[in-house]
This record gives sequence, structure tokens and C-alpha cells, in this order.
Amino acid sequence: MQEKLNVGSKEVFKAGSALAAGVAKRGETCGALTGAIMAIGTLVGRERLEDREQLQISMEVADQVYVLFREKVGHTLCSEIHKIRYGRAYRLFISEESEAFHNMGGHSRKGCPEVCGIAARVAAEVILDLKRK
Amino acid sequence: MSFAKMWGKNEIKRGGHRMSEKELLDEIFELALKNDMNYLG
Repeated sequence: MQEKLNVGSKEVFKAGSALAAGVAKRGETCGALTGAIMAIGTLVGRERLEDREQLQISMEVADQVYVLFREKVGHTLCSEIHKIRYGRAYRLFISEESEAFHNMGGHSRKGCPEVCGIAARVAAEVILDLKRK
Repeated sequence: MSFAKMWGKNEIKRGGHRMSEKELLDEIFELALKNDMNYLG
């Protein structure tokens, strides 16, 4: 997203580092989805706490990303996405399960990498749609 | 800052050639996929 659409910044990139694997490897909301919403937020997020109108706009746009992501991936939780893609959830904060995840090809094309691709594409679609408005 | 104003610096161009939306989305998909494979795996 940063490279192709010039969205975000070094600070935003840094801030998203520990979102991977469902927030610090805990299997919660998919880091690709939260990263996509962060990217959108750099464009439509509020700059002042009291700007409720912009907050509402950013919520509506983020919801579009959420809904499209869930439709295409089947779930928004990392552990549930694991079940869909791999048949079981891997608790990546446990070193043995993390190793098993890598050994069975968790980062092969059809696993989490494809989910990241879908999240980025969905966010880009929403950004391009905003541009048309 | 409005989105339209923000977008002013985000023109979709590569080498002076304006990409189609599908080309751009395909590239974004593939780049995100490969970044995950290469840097999170």
C-alpha cells in the first residue's frame, strides 16, 4: 500500500509491527485487516479529537473494508482464519506451535500471505472508490 | 485535511504511464502476498 499508493508513513509502518498474527501473535483480529484499516485511517481518520464528523466518516470507510474482508476471507479472527485455511488454529505465541505452523507451510502462498494480499487489495479498492467520490 | 486534498499527491502513475485500476490492484495483491511470505515467514 505504501509503495503503490503512497499511503501511510514510516511511523504508521512502525506502529503496525506487532499487529501480525492477530495482535502480538495472539490469534485475535487478523493483522492484515487491522493494517488495512490503519492505511485507510491515514487518509480519512480524524486529526482532532473533537472532529466527530470525520470520526464517523472513518468508521464508515473502515466498515467497508471490514465487510469486504470478511466476505472474501470468511472470518476476521486470525485463529478462525487458520481453521479455514489450515484445518486447525496455531497459537503462534507458543514456540512449538509457531514452529509447526512454519513447518506445515503456514507462509505458503495459499495461507496467510494470500490473506494479506486480499486485505491490501480490499483497502486499495476502497481507497480508489473514495478517490472517485 | 479532506481526502481529495490528500489524494493530490497520490496519483496512480508508473514511469509516466497511468496504470489501469485492475493492474494496480493486482500488483498490490501480489506485493502484499510476497511481503508476507518473505518477511513474516
